[in-house]
Amino acid sequence: MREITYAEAIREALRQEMQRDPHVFLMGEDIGVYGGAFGVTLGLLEEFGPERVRDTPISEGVIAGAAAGAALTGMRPVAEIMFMDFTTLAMEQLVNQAAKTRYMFGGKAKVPMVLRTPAGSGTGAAAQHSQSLEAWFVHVPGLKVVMPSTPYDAKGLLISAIRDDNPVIFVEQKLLYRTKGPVPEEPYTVPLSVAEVKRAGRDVTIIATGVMVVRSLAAAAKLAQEGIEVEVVDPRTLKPYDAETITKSVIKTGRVLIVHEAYKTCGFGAEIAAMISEGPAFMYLNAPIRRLAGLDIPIPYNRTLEYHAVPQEENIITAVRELMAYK
Amino acid sequence: MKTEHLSLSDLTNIYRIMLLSRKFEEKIVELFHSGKTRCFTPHLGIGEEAVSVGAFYGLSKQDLISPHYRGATAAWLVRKLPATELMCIYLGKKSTGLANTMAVQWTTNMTLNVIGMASSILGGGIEIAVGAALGAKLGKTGQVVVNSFGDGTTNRGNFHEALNLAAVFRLPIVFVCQNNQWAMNMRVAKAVTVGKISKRAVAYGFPGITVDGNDVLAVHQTVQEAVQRARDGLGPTLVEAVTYRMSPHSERDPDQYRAEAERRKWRRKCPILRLEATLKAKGMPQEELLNIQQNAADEIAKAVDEALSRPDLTPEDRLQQWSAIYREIYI
Ligand SMILES: Cc1ncc(C[n+]2csc(CCOP(=O)(O)OP(=O)(O)O)c2C)c(N)n1
Ligand SMILES: [Mg+2]
Repeated sequence: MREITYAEAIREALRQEMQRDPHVFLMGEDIGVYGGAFGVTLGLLEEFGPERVRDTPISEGVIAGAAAGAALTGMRPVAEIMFMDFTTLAMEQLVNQAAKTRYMFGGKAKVPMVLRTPAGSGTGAAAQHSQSLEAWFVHVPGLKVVMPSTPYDAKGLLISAIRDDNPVIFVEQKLLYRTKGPVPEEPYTVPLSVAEVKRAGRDVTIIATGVMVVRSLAAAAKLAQEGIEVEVVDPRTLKPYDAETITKSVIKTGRVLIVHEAYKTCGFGAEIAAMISEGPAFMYLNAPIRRLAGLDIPIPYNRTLEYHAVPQEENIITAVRELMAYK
Repeated sequence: MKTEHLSLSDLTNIYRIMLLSRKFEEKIVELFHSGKTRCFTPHLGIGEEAVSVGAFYGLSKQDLISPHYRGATAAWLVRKLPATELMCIYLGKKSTGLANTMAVQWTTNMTLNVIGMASSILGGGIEIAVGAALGAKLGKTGQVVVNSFGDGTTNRGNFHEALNLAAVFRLPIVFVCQNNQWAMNMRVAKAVTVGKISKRAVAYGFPGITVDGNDVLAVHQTVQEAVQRARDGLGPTLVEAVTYRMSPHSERDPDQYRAEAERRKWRRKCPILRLEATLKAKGMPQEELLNIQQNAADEIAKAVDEALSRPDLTPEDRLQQWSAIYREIYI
């Protein structure tokens, strides 16, 4: 199959949905000729024109708020917030408005919007351009949160998100934009709220999100040479997430490592650990549940410091070996 | 250029700082594109030096400055931070003058009374600057705050809330909008419909003045008058300094959305060449101008050498830094 990058896969999903449905339009800062800070929307202005690819002033609040308003009227806006850090400026509209609309109005209104935003560290962009704030959104009923780790998933999940009638926060990982993978040319969907086992194994279950899926798979390949068979589960949608696939895997392996870039304290991993502890898989555990996450510090600018602020492949390998020490 | 309000030694000093900033940033372009920096991407203010030097020069050391990120180089130099310390951050070396945890465009050092934008989230810095002015007023310190920001940033809600609050509280602050006519790919006229950004002050009931932002002396004089007004308890002023973004948005920006003719037109209005002409008209010999230029170039070359001879952050440093970093999150 043809291979394209994660960024190209997202662009293709946007293009194909815009071709299919005239209600889909894009709005955000510098998404036109500039193509967005990471070039994801390059070429779409030329193809669809400034009515449907709308550059806005630097006004994050109204980007989110106006997307919600347009969605109320039946449009399917895909808003872009240039860095996930800036979603904090749009919280009122996302959390208090968009998330609650369907419920407050008893289904007499809906908000089929998508908010795309690049997250994560590793680019040297420091504390206010490197955050992974997905747990903030996962906490809020009414929002869906999607976080793809491969080009294939990125395209299929984005198409599903656009067609979904709920507000969806679509978290893109900066470090994955240039990674390549097989992606069908025709439109297809990857269902929301369905996890995928990215690698099967019998010894340890790693539940990882975003770029940590890639690092976990690399770690798993090395650990296999030592005879340790790791199963890697990617939830893909963090809200509402697929507890069943995770539970099944844990019952099989009895050892759990949860890896994400976001902070450990109250991170998505805390939810997964709690879910496992409360559920049927608990009785099958052979070792304490282990979490590897970003250190609880703002991301430092200096590259050496930044590298050590979030889990790397070697940390994953060490953590798995430690889990294997429990018999 | 009006020069009556400044002595020849001030004029020379302003010229020197503008040149240093220019040469520093030209050096950063060279180092970045040859892969020698360890930073995400520099955002440079080449051609916009008159705004930050004009706005921040001549204040008292106690006065607080809160510079726009583009132009921060010049602002730090006005506050006499050695170029080496700035260079260290770009090169990933250990800086002793600035935190190693933040880029120079947005870093803060309260011992120098510089609140560097306070944030790389546009707009937040304006509110922080207003808070600093409130602190100065409540503490009766006599300090004035001079805060600059870009044209695009005036479309953030923070800008409007901050200016209104500053007006209501009559705070000792001068807002300087560094209008370089672009915000990434967004031309100012497409993002602001009132024409002059200074008109926005009307909504808050304080003066708004537009000034030629490539004329360092005009910027300086206008800001100084506003500073006096603030010191006299008469409240804020919005100064719009119209300049042009000669650099791409950042060094990663291929900058293909602007006409070359536009850039060419503005290149002729270079603020440094303009000040040079004024200095010549005042009788400064060519030789002395060349001398100042050479000294500035030497100082930057030395800053690069010194920065390169500084240690990288080693793993041992890192451990110490970690504990420091953890400690520094909370007090
Ligand atoms: C709240 C927020 N939105 C978007 C950005 C991304 N961004 C960085 S600089 C910039 C353009 C700023 O334009 P302007 O205020 O005119 O300053 P200039 O870059 O022209 O100096 C944008 C959109 C940001 N840093 N913060
Ligand atoms: Mg601008």
